[in-house]
Amino acid sequence: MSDPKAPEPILCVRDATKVYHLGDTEVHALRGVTLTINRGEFVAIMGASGSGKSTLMNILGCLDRPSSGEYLLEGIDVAQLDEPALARIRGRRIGFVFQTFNLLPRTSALENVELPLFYAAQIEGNIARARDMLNMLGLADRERNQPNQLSGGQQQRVAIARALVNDPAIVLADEPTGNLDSQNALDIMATIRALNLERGVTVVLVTHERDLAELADRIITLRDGRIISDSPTAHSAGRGATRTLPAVQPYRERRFVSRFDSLLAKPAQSAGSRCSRHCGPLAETSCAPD
Amino acid sequence: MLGMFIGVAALIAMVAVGEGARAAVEAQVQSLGTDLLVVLPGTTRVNGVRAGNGSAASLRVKDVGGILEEDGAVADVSYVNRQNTQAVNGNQNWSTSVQGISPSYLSIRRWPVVAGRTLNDQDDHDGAVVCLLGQTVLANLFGEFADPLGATVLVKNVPMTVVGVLAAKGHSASGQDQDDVIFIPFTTSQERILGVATPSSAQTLSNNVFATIGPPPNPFGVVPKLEGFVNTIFVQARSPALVKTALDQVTKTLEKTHRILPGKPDDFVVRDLTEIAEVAEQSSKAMELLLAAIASISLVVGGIGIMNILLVSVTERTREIGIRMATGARRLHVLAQFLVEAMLLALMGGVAGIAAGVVASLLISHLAGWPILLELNVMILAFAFSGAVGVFFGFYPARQASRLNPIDALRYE
Repeated sequence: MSDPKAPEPILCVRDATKVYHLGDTEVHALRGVTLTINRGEFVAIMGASGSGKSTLMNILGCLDRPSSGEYLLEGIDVAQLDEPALARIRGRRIGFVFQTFNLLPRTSALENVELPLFYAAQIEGNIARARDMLNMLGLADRERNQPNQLSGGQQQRVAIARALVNDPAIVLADEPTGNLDSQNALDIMATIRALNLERGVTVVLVTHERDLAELADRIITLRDGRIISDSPTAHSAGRGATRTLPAVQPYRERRFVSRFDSLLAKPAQSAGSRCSRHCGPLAETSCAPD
Repeated sequence: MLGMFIGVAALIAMVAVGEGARAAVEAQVQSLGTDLLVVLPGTTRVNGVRAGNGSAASLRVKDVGGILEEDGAVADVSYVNRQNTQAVNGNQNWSTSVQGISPSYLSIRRWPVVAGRTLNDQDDHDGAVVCLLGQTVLANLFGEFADPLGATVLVKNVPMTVVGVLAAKGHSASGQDQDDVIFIPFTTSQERILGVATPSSAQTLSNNVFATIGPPPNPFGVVPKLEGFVNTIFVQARSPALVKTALDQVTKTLEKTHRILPGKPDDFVVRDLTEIAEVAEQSSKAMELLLAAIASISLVVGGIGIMNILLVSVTERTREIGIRMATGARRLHVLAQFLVEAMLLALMGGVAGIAAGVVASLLISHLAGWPILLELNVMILAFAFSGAVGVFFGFYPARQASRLNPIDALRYE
């Protein structure tokens, strides 16, 4: 982001609908959603079950196509693309983080992280890159472990490493903390928030928990396949439109982990304080001048 | 993989046992003489009366040398001198066919001895008074219990030592009892027992070659003898397939050595045993067909096994396919992955099957005493085929996998 005042739209959905056919009945999962997300934004999507969040995510991730309407990803109309091109986008431009982690079973953490590199036809330096990613997420000593030998939080961090290994422009996280306890959930959220801030990755996150959604810059709420509210969060509103993102810096393993360790300790001490309820644990550092 | 394993193992064992059986059948049929040519003398013509084939004394021992030297399709040649005469052992006697044979005769006819030894070059060279008895002669001269080896029998009043007993050969295609025979060395037969090979079974004044040219002066009353004539020449072709070639070559050679002018009738006849050869060919074709049918059935069964395993695997791994697609795998990648897996499964099954098949066929041959024939190229073929079957039957499941919708695959529970 060279010029924060001229935000560059990266995802652009116009009047998208999605109709599922279950036997004779038609289920309208999306009824005309129009949405623009800018590069570098951190957007949380909220809504009750069946409100169309996941359908919207699938369309954003090129896993599914809208029944009608238009979807531009980095200015390209996805509807025009053929299957190999879609696979390319999924592999190189988008990283997925799922609620159920979706790591390949019986496959080591390192190999899981290498997978997108393999499909992107990367030949050289795959292992080194995957290892760097795991290092960055504090899993250097777990690269040989298979998913069933990792805790939920570790699995999700492997999944994040996998999502990021091809340096995607967008990370789509579909309830990434849904299967984790609150401590691990905060940890993962902190990780994603930091990626957004430090690497400038656009993040779209689906969550049920308002606490976690408050970590984003902007919350979109869906109900019955329509957007019923789209508003900046308190902390980003506080910073205003002129907020600047920290410069993208290379990660160093310990610095990253220790920084968020201290962060995450705070809400535990000041549990129930106004700040943590409104802004989440990161609010204090994000809002406060460094 | 289990299906492929069983399929390939069955294939290898079946082919090994089948090839063994086929080789045994072929050897049996060949012992009837699929690669044999028979050369008979031509006809005589006395005062306008023509005798049949074999009545002329036109074949000589020296013809054999010419055939062996000049004819490439010929593996071996032997010659026979034959006469029906009386054999006596003690108080038993029996009229039988006494044949003077050259040493290679028994090997050309694939006729082993079951006791004692065969006639060798030394016997032929020495004109030894030794003989081999056929089973029918043995039964009639010795009965069941006596040991014929070393016994002396009178053949045309010449005492001869029995040195061997021939295996039973049975009846020929025309119903002739081939075991009703006594074999003696050719030289012995020509010089001591049978005399010169002449057109008919017994030498008389009327059919002796001398009869046609008039008797030579015989001041001391010596029995006339001509040496080096034979009744029949047996020619063994290098293989049953070369019989026709050998027939042409032998005919040409004999025409040349006998100085037959073009257009004139030959003074000899060359025959092949076509009837037997045709039977042999048919039986070998039938065996081949049987083996091919067994092999293809077992491979198809194995292939269907692989297909089932992969279809189950695709269902079980739907989620994995979804994950792969979400991380950038193209349909082609998924297709290739499952195809390679199918092929590896099939090849692993193939290798295990080859090992098991070899063990099974060795076991069968050991337990049942059947001959087996393990061929390397059958194994290579089975290996290659199992890979091909894997790809063929893996294609459908792989295509099913690659056609999954990423979002459905990811959501699959």
